[in-house]
Amino acid sequence: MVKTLVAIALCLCVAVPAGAAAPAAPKPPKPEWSELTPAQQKVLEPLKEDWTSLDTVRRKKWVKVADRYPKMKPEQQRRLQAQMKEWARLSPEQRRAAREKFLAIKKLPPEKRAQLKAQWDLYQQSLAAKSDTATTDDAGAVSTH
Amino acid sequence: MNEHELARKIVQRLNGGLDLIKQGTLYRLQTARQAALERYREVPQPAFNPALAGAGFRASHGRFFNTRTLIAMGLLLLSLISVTYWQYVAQANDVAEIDASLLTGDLPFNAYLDSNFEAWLKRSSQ
Repeated sequence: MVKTLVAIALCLCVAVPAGAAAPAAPKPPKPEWSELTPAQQKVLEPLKEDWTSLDTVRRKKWVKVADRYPKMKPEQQRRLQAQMKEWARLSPEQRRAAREKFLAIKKLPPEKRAQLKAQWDLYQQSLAAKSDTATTDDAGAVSTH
Repeated sequence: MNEHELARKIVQRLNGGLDLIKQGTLYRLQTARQAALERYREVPQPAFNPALAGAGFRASHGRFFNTRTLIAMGLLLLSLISVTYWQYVAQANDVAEIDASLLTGDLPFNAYLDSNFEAWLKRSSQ
């Protein structure tokens, strides 16, 4: 009888937390900003304002990213902090699409990736040139009136 | 000859033959009977019989839910939950790693989302 009760208790211990996890009242997301170490807070400073809107999964992901930060090169650290805030404000679909594209490009040979970077720079220059032309045209149109 | 008459004749014949059985054969029969009875007593009782009797389970079904089966089921559940948890952890680590690489890479993340850049690439490659 004791063995039977032990077996039932074991099953309940295993099954109840799994079943109860889904419908239970939502827990507040963790960790809180105040629970981060000073080093993590410094890295994640661009996200401080939006921290309350992040769920537990995303907060933990950022903590992991922050923990990798010291191993990054200074240029990588700069890029990360510069893009962090805007990245966090994207929709989940946009982030997923960007990750898929990134992973696909990552598979390309290094020279192809370097070429793509050069093309992106060229594209940015063409956009800037277009914008300059539009501004000049507008200014010209105003001065003729 | 009906069944009763036949049975009576068989019993009569068996009883008559009883006196003819040798002492050694009698001893062997007695020992075999004793051994059979011992084995019968050693058959384990189903652990859940009393609990399941009220729920409409038969004794034969009760054996399925013995302690060993329950422990095995518990362990199976535990391993399933462990696997799910580690998959979740691995997935979370993967996402963190991807995001860290993506945000520190040569290309800004806008490059992966800009559909105009994709169109521009196609145009310039033609």
